[in-house]
Amino acid sequence: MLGWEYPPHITGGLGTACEGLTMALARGGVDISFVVPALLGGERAPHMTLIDSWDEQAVPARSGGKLASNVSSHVKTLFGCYAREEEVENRLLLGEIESELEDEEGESAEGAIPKKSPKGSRYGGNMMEEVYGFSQRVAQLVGKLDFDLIHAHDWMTYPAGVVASRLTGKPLVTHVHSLEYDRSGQSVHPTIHGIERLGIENSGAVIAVSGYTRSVVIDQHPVEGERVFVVHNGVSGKYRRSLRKKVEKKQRGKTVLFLGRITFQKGPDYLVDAASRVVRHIPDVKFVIAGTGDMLPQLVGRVNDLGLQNHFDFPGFLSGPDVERMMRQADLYVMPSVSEPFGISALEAISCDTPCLISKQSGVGEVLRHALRVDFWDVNRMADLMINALLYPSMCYEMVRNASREAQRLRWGPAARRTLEVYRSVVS
Amino acid sequence: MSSVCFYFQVHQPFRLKPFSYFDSSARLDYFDDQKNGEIARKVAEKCYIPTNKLMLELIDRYEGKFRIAYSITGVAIEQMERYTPEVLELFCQLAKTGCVEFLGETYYHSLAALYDPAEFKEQVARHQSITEALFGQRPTVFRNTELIFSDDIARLVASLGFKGVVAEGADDILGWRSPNFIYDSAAAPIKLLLKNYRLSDDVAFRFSNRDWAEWPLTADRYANWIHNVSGNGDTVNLFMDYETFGEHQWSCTGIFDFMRALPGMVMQHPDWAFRTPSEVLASHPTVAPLSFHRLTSWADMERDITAWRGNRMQEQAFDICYDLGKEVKWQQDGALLDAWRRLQTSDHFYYMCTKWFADGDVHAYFSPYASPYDGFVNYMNVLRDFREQVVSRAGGRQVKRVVAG
Repeated sequence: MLGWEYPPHITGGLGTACEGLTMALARGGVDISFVVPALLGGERAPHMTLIDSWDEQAVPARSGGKLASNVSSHVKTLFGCYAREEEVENRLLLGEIESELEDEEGESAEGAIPKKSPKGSRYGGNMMEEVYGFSQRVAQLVGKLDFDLIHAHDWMTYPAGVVASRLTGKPLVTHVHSLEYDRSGQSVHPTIHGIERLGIENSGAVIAVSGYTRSVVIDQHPVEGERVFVVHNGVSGKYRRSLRKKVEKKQRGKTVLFLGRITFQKGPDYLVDAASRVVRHIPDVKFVIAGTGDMLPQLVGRVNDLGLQNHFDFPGFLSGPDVERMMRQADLYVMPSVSEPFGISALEAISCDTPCLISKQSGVGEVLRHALRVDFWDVNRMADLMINALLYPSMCYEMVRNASREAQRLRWGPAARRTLEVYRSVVS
Repeated sequence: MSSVCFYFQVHQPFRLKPFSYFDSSARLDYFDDQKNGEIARKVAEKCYIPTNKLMLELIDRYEGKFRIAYSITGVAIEQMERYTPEVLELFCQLAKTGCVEFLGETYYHSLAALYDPAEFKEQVARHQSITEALFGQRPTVFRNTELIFSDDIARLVASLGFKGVVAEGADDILGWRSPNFIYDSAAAPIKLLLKNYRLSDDVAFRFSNRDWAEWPLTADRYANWIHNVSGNGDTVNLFMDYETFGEHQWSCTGIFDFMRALPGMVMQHPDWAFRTPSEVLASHPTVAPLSFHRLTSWADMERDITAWRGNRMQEQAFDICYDLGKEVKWQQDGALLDAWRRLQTSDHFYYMCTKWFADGDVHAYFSPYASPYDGFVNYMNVLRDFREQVVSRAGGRQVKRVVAG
């Protein structure tokens, strides 16, 4: 299995999902080697073999490991001299990758591999270099590992997965936790989009985290629907267990919470527009927009233009305990995403006894039916629903009561069973 | 001689328009005429017209020996008058055969019995009047909305002069006793006709279910089950929604052929005859007093009222709706009163039911809304505006702040 992060070092839901899924798969008897770009210390995964891609001693060389000799050229042909992002952007076109993969010739790319493990962020500026380096190191590793299929999580690991599949002849399963389309909307990064396409086209099967994401995959990439399977994420214990120590809600004034990256795709601007309609009817309402992102200045400007300064708080990025406290205090959690593959934060809100208003463009709605749902662009309806949620605690009570039960049913066991079915469909 | 007693419920609510918090209607224009008209015409075509014609045919063929009962809500009658007068004409023809009894109920298919006894009595009286005016008979047997019943309701209904009432033959109410006899209410001087839910639901719910061991059900076999009651009961009460025929069970399931064949099969046995509820009460003695110590209905496995009042949204919606009653009545404004009463129709509250929604079994409940929350929001938006209209018509007089206070 190829991953990009692993708890406790996580930046989003990807690492957490990988942990939950691998634990359940291991319980189901699957032997997993999980390769991450780098181990940063503190990772605990006794259920599988967790491998640092930099650690040459991590895997004992298999007898006759002859695959290793061709590795460089494969990686080279995939990324080759386009290690710089701009060049990758310019030249990493699908056709080129494909044709170059067929071409066994190529210069040694040894010189392009950084020899030192960068222990910093893996989502930083040199993302393409990271992705490229990872695929090269994985290519070195795969010859020494024994496995039946390759399972790659999100686009950062797809090049590694494709190379590993080509080198070993083992089938590739790509797991779509999110798509470039979800992150960037209409202004998709063509390289990333291309890498997604490369991975998906070379997969025996594709796993999507929701029916919504499955439909986006099929819409965005040339892939037959029967190869794309939905496996909803499970939920770890902490989301399932409602802690019941409800923070004393403020006596006066209601709070609506947005929590996430302040980017176009998360739809905070639609919430602001809807809020301007809410405050006319509920004058003491407060909107808390927690998080950071490139859209933040624009959003603050919009709030000021609408004269809503007194109704908005921008506390910035919140970490663990603050997230929970904020979620408990809120009367309503709003996730107005333009495109949300899953959206586990809605389940987190439920575990904090806070009801959710989510966009219809969110995958979590397929498993969280006891929520208010609205098209992200329908700000009138969004305002209508928010006002009703704030006016009628009876509705919030029912949503939380029923949604908590739904969340309790979301376990990784069924997700692992579905994943095994997908495995069987490609290993035959 | 034992009786087979068919009773069919005919009801269509005035469904609400999509109504947002920001909408307002001084004309109390809350009801979706277009959609209600479409549904009325569709149900008429699939169910009411073919089934009424079938019943006329059977009454004619058996020369008065095939006898049935209906109750038709006032709101259904109003919609027939407006959208499908031919259906109403067929019901009038059925009334003229002398083989059809019409039962009383609340005009608005409401749960007023639980909230406002005075209002309940007015709605029942209005329904009696329209039934008498259209069909030439004043109901003497009562059916409460969704067969909702209790000892308290028995007292209320008895006080209105009804001699009998139909109710669910719920297991926990009956204990070891059989639904196939007439009982006295333990609470009031009124007789009880209890639904045989097994045989009723075999037709109403299970008829087309291919996973059911008895599928496909034939009239022959079903008549046999009825005959098996011989010696163990005076009456088999088969109560169901009229929409069973052609709407819940589509024509292609064979439901019409089944019904066409059934009377002959039942009457092959010389000890069995079709009777209407009043005739059943007159033909058989009561066997014992029976207490309805809890609220029962004919819904779900629980036979309780939680489909309409089983969560806090429904409770709040009921409370706010009925709290408006005093003010609405004080104003003596017909349009206001009619809108308020239409908002009492049980279906609005049913759409807020969360019981089955969690299981993804969305088909267990019929609802025009995507979720019970959408149903609640739409209803509360209408109710809020309705209250605004009540206030404005009161000319600024202080009205108790009940909505979202």
